[in-house]
Amino acid sequence: MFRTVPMLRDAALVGLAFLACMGAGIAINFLQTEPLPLAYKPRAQRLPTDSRIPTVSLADITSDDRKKASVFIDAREPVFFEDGHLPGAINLPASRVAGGDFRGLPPDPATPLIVYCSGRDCPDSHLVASALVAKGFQNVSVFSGGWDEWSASGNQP
Amino acid sequence: MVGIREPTMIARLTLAAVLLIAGILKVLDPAGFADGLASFQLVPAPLIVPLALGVPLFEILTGAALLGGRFRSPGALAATGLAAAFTVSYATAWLRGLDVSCSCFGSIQFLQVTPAGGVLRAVVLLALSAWVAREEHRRRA
Repeated sequence: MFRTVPMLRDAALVGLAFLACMGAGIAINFLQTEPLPLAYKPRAQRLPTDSRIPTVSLADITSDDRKKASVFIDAREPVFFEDGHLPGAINLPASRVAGGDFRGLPPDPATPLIVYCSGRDCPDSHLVASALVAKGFQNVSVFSGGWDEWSASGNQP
Repeated sequence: MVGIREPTMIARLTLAAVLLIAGILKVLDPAGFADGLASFQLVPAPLIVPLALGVPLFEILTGAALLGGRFRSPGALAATGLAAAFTVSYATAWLRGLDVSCSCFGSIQFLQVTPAGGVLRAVVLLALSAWVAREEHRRRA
Protein backbone atom coordinates (compact mmCIF):
# COMPACT_ATOMS: atom_id res chain seq x y z
CA MET A 1 0.00 0.00 0.00
CA PHE A 2 1.14 3.57 -0.67
CA ARG A 3 1.65 5.80 2.29
CA THR A 4 -0.54 8.84 1.67
CA VAL A 5 1.56 11.58 3.31
CA PRO A 6 4.81 11.00 1.39
CA MET A 7 2.77 10.71 -1.80
CA LEU A 8 1.05 14.06 -1.16
CA ARG A 9 4.42 15.59 -0.36
CA ASP A 10 5.80 14.24 -3.64
CA ALA A 11 2.76 15.57 -5.53
CA ALA A 12 3.24 19.03 -4.02
CA LEU A 13 6.93 18.94 -4.90
CA VAL A 14 6.12 17.91 -8.49
CA GLY A 15 3.57 20.73 -8.78
CA LEU A 16 6.04 23.30 -7.51
CA ALA A 17 8.74 21.98 -9.84
CA PHE A 18 6.36 22.23 -12.79
CA LEU A 19 5.53 25.86 -12.00
CA ALA A 20 9.23 26.64 -11.49
CA CYS A 21 10.03 25.10 -14.90
CA MET A 22 7.33 27.19 -16.57
CA GLY A 23 8.75 30.34 -14.97
CA ALA A 24 12.34 29.37 -15.81
CA GLY A 25 11.37 28.55 -19.41
CA ILE A 26 9.75 31.96 -19.89
CA ALA A 27 12.67 33.75 -18.21
CA ILE A 28 15.32 31.90 -20.28
CA ASN A 29 13.33 32.64 -23.45
CA PHE A 30 13.52 36.36 -22.80
CA LEU A 31 17.28 36.15 -22.36
CA GLN A 32 17.63 34.82 -25.92
CA THR A 33 18.61 37.18 -28.73
CA GLU A 34 15.41 36.25 -30.62
CA PRO A 35 12.86 35.25 -27.97
CA LEU A 36 9.76 33.32 -28.99
CA PRO A 37 6.75 35.68 -28.65
CA LEU A 38 4.48 34.48 -25.82
CA ALA A 39 1.41 34.89 -28.05
CA TYR A 40 1.37 31.83 -30.27
CA LYS A 41 1.38 32.33 -34.06
CA PRO A 42 0.87 29.37 -36.39
CA ARG A 43 3.92 28.39 -38.41
CA ALA A 44 2.50 29.73 -41.70
CA GLN A 45 2.26 33.20 -40.16
CA ARG A 46 5.88 33.09 -39.00
CA LEU A 47 7.29 32.63 -42.50
CA PRO A 48 9.41 35.59 -43.54
CA THR A 49 7.81 37.89 -46.12
CA ASP A 50 9.63 39.85 -48.79
CA SER A 51 8.38 43.42 -49.25
CA ARG A 52 10.17 43.66 -52.60
CA ILE A 53 7.72 41.28 -54.27
CA PRO A 54 5.59 43.34 -56.69
CA THR A 55 1.83 43.42 -56.50
CA VAL A 56 -0.55 43.40 -59.45
CA SER A 57 -4.08 44.73 -59.68
CA LEU A 58 -7.26 43.19 -61.05
CA ALA A 59 -6.91 45.41 -64.12
CA ASP A 60 -3.40 44.04 -64.68
CA ILE A 61 -4.44 40.43 -64.63
CA THR A 62 -7.50 40.91 -66.80
CA SER A 63 -6.00 43.23 -69.44
CA ASP A 64 -2.28 42.82 -69.59
CA ASP A 65 -1.35 39.97 -71.95
CA ARG A 66 1.78 39.16 -70.02
CA LYS A 67 -0.17 38.85 -66.81
CA LYS A 68 -2.80 36.77 -68.55
CA ALA A 69 -0.04 34.34 -69.59
CA SER A 70 1.05 33.90 -65.96
CA VAL A 71 0.27 30.90 -63.80
CA PHE A 72 -1.95 31.70 -60.83
CA ILE A 73 -1.05 30.22 -57.46
CA ASP A 74 -3.95 29.97 -55.00
CA ALA A 75 -2.53 30.16 -51.46
CA ARG A 76 -5.82 29.30 -49.76
CA GLU A 77 -6.62 25.95 -48.13
CA PRO A 78 -7.98 23.25 -50.52
CA VAL A 79 -11.56 23.54 -49.21
CA PHE A 80 -11.75 27.16 -50.45
CA PHE A 81 -9.87 26.39 -53.66
CA GLU A 82 -12.36 23.67 -54.53
CA ASP A 83 -15.23 26.13 -54.05
CA GLY A 84 -13.80 28.35 -56.78
CA HIS A 85 -10.50 29.69 -58.06
CA LEU A 86 -8.94 31.78 -60.83
CA PRO A 87 -8.71 30.08 -64.23
CA GLY A 88 -5.96 27.45 -64.32
CA ALA A 89 -4.81 28.24 -60.76
CA ILE A 90 -2.61 25.79 -58.89
CA ASN A 91 -3.44 25.28 -55.22
CA LEU A 92 -0.41 25.79 -52.97
CA PRO A 93 -1.64 26.62 -49.45
CA ALA A 94 0.69 28.31 -46.98
CA SER A 95 0.38 25.30 -44.67
CA ARG A 96 1.93 23.09 -47.39
CA VAL A 97 4.70 25.59 -48.06
CA ALA A 98 5.46 25.73 -44.33
CA GLY A 99 6.04 21.98 -44.49
CA GLY A 100 8.40 22.38 -47.48
CA ASP A 101 5.92 20.82 -49.96
CA PHE A 102 6.07 22.60 -53.33
CA ARG A 103 4.59 19.83 -55.53
CA GLY A 104 2.65 20.77 -58.64
CA LEU A 105 4.56 23.92 -59.60
CA PRO A 106 5.79 24.59 -63.17
CA PRO A 107 9.31 23.16 -63.59
CA ASP A 108 10.67 26.32 -65.28
CA PRO A 109 11.77 28.85 -62.60
CA ALA A 110 11.31 31.67 -65.14
CA THR A 111 7.54 31.01 -65.36
CA PRO A 112 5.65 34.14 -64.24
CA LEU A 113 3.68 33.27 -61.10
CA ILE A 114 0.89 35.39 -59.57
CA VAL A 115 -0.03 34.42 -56.03
CA TYR A 116 -3.31 35.28 -54.37
CA CYS A 117 -5.35 34.33 -51.30
CA SER A 118 -8.78 35.41 -50.02
CA GLY A 119 -8.33 39.17 -50.21
CA ARG A 120 -6.37 42.15 -49.00
CA ASP A 121 -6.30 41.13 -45.34
CA CYS A 122 -4.93 37.62 -45.76
CA PRO A 123 -1.15 37.18 -45.33
CA ASP A 124 -0.87 33.84 -47.13
CA SER A 125 -0.28 35.18 -50.66
CA HIS A 126 2.76 37.15 -49.44
CA LEU A 127 4.02 34.20 -47.39
CA VAL A 128 3.75 31.80 -50.33
CA ALA A 129 5.21 34.35 -52.77
CA SER A 130 8.23 34.88 -50.49
CA ALA A 131 8.73 31.12 -50.24
CA LEU A 132 8.54 30.80 -54.05
CA VAL A 133 11.18 33.51 -54.50
CA ALA A 134 13.38 31.74 -51.94
CA LYS A 135 12.79 28.52 -53.90
CA GLY A 136 14.30 30.15 -56.99
CA PHE A 137 11.30 31.41 -58.99
CA GLN A 138 12.37 34.62 -60.68
CA ASN A 139 9.07 36.22 -61.68
CA VAL A 140 6.71 36.16 -58.72
CA SER A 141 4.06 38.77 -57.96
CA VAL A 142 1.05 39.02 -55.65
CA PHE A 143 -2.52 39.77 -56.70
CA SER A 144 -3.43 41.50 -53.45
CA GLY A 145 -7.15 41.83 -54.20
CA GLY A 146 -7.33 38.06 -54.17
CA TRP A 147 -10.36 35.88 -54.60
CA ASP A 148 -12.72 38.47 -53.05
CA GLU A 149 -11.89 41.12 -55.64
CA TRP A 150 -11.89 38.65 -58.53
CA SER A 151 -15.29 37.19 -57.70
CA ALA A 152 -16.83 40.59 -56.74
CA SER A 153 -15.91 41.99 -60.13
CA GLY A 154 -18.15 39.47 -61.86
CA ASN A 155 -15.34 37.31 -63.14
CA GLN A 156 -16.21 33.66 -63.33
CA PRO A 157 -14.03 30.88 -61.95
CA MET B 1 21.73 0.05 -5.27
CA VAL B 2 20.86 -1.87 -2.11
CA GLY B 3 17.17 -2.68 -1.81
CA ILE B 4 16.33 -2.00 -5.45
CA ARG B 5 15.62 -4.88 -7.74
CA GLU B 6 17.46 -4.66 -11.02
CA PRO B 7 14.42 -4.56 -13.38
CA THR B 8 13.13 -1.47 -11.57
CA MET B 9 16.48 0.20 -11.93
CA ILE B 10 16.60 -0.59 -15.66
CA ALA B 11 13.05 0.75 -16.10
CA ARG B 12 13.86 3.89 -14.11
CA LEU B 13 17.04 4.60 -16.07
CA THR B 14 15.24 3.92 -19.37
CA LEU B 15 12.55 6.44 -18.39
CA ALA B 16 15.24 8.92 -17.37
CA ALA B 17 17.00 8.55 -20.74
CA VAL B 18 13.74 8.95 -22.71
CA LEU B 19 12.76 12.08 -20.77
CA LEU B 20 16.22 13.64 -20.92
CA ILE B 21 16.50 13.08 -24.69
CA ALA B 22 12.93 14.28 -25.34
CA GLY B 23 13.41 17.35 -23.14
CA ILE B 24 16.78 18.35 -24.63
CA LEU B 25 15.51 17.97 -28.22
CA LYS B 26 12.46 20.11 -27.39
CA VAL B 27 14.55 22.79 -25.69
CA LEU B 28 16.48 23.11 -28.95
CA ASP B 29 13.28 23.74 -30.97
CA PRO B 30 10.65 25.46 -28.78
CA ALA B 31 8.81 26.89 -31.81
CA GLY B 32 8.49 23.40 -33.32
CA PHE B 33 7.17 22.02 -30.02
CA ALA B 34 4.68 24.92 -29.82
CA ASP B 35 3.42 23.95 -33.31
CA GLY B 36 3.16 20.35 -32.12
CA LEU B 37 1.18 21.37 -29.02
CA ALA B 38 -1.14 23.53 -31.13
CA SER B 39 -1.84 20.64 -33.51
CA PHE B 40 -3.52 18.71 -30.67
CA GLN B 41 -6.12 21.51 -30.27
CA LEU B 42 -6.30 20.84 -26.53
CA VAL B 43 -4.34 23.71 -25.01
CA PRO B 44 -5.82 27.26 -25.00
CA ALA B 45 -3.80 29.56 -27.30
CA PRO B 46 -2.35 31.78 -24.48
CA LEU B 47 -0.83 28.69 -22.82
CA ILE B 48 0.80 27.14 -25.91
CA VAL B 49 4.09 29.06 -25.83
CA PRO B 50 4.52 29.06 -22.00
CA LEU B 51 3.99 25.28 -22.01
CA ALA B 52 6.34 24.85 -24.98
CA LEU B 53 9.01 26.69 -22.98
CA GLY B 54 8.35 25.05 -19.60
CA VAL B 55 7.47 21.41 -20.33
CA PRO B 56 10.86 20.54 -21.87
CA LEU B 57 12.64 21.86 -18.75
CA PHE B 58 10.24 19.83 -16.60
CA GLU B 59 11.06 16.72 -18.64
CA ILE B 60 14.80 17.31 -18.17
CA LEU B 61 14.32 17.88 -14.43
CA THR B 62 12.20 14.73 -14.17
CA GLY B 63 14.74 12.71 -16.14
CA ALA B 64 17.56 13.99 -13.93
CA ALA B 65 15.57 13.15 -10.77
CA LEU B 66 15.05 9.59 -12.03
CA LEU B 67 18.77 9.04 -12.50
CA GLY B 68 19.25 8.62 -8.76
CA GLY B 69 19.37 10.34 -5.39
CA ARG B 70 16.67 11.48 -3.01
CA PHE B 71 14.27 12.80 -5.66
CA ARG B 72 13.70 9.47 -7.42
CA SER B 73 10.26 9.03 -5.96
CA PRO B 74 8.84 12.47 -6.95
CA GLY B 75 10.64 12.01 -10.27
CA ALA B 76 8.73 8.80 -10.88
CA LEU B 77 5.46 10.53 -9.94
CA ALA B 78 6.23 13.40 -12.34
CA ALA B 79 7.05 10.91 -15.12
CA THR B 80 3.69 9.21 -14.50
CA GLY B 81 1.91 12.57 -14.75
CA LEU B 82 3.71 13.43 -18.00
CA ALA B 83 2.98 10.01 -19.51
CA ALA B 84 -0.70 10.32 -18.49
CA ALA B 85 -0.87 13.73 -20.19
CA PHE B 86 0.78 12.31 -23.34
CA THR B 87 -1.70 9.39 -23.35
CA VAL B 88 -4.77 11.65 -23.03
CA SER B 89 -3.44 14.04 -25.70
CA TYR B 90 -2.74 11.32 -28.25
CA ALA B 91 -5.93 9.38 -27.49
CA THR B 92 -8.15 12.44 -28.00
CA ALA B 93 -6.25 13.37 -31.20
CA TRP B 94 -6.72 9.82 -32.48
CA LEU B 95 -10.45 9.84 -31.66
CA ARG B 96 -10.91 13.23 -33.36
CA GLY B 97 -8.95 12.17 -36.43
CA LEU B 98 -6.44 15.01 -36.06
CA ASP B 99 -3.23 15.08 -38.03
CA VAL B 100 -0.88 15.75 -35.12
CA SER B 101 2.82 16.13 -34.78
CA CYS B 102 3.84 16.33 -31.15
CA SER B 103 7.49 17.13 -31.84
CA CYS B 104 7.99 14.89 -28.81
CA PHE B 105 11.55 14.24 -29.94
CA GLY B 106 12.20 17.55 -31.68
CA SER B 107 12.25 17.27 -35.45
CA ILE B 108 13.76 13.78 -35.65
CA GLN B 109 11.61 12.28 -38.40
CA PHE B 110 11.91 8.57 -37.59
CA LEU B 111 10.58 9.21 -34.07
CA GLN B 112 7.45 10.97 -35.38
CA VAL B 113 4.48 8.63 -35.08
CA THR B 114 0.81 8.49 -36.07
CA PRO B 115 -1.77 9.23 -33.32
CA ALA B 116 -2.35 5.47 -32.88
CA GLY B 117 1.40 4.91 -32.57
CA GLY B 118 1.57 7.87 -30.17
CA VAL B 119 -1.10 6.32 -27.94
CA LEU B 120 0.81 3.03 -27.88
CA ARG B 121 4.11 4.78 -27.07
CA ALA B 122 2.47 6.89 -24.35
CA VAL B 123 0.71 3.86 -22.79
CA VAL B 124 4.03 1.98 -22.62
CA LEU B 125 5.64 5.03 -20.94
CA LEU B 126 2.66 5.32 -18.58
CA ALA B 127 2.84 1.66 -17.55
CA LEU B 128 6.60 1.87 -17.06
CA SER B 129 6.49 5.09 -15.04
CA ALA B 130 3.53 3.96 -12.89
CA TRP B 131 5.40 0.75 -12.08
CA VAL B 132 8.59 2.63 -11.20
CA ALA B 133 6.56 5.08 -9.07
CA ARG B 134 4.95 2.19 -7.17
CA GLU B 135 8.30 0.50 -6.59
CA GLU B 136 9.91 3.75 -5.43
CA HIS B 137 7.09 4.34 -2.93
CA ARG B 138 7.39 0.77 -1.68
CA ARG B 139 11.12 1.23 -1.27
CA ARG B 140 10.60 4.35 0.78
CA ALA B 141 7.73 2.90 2.85
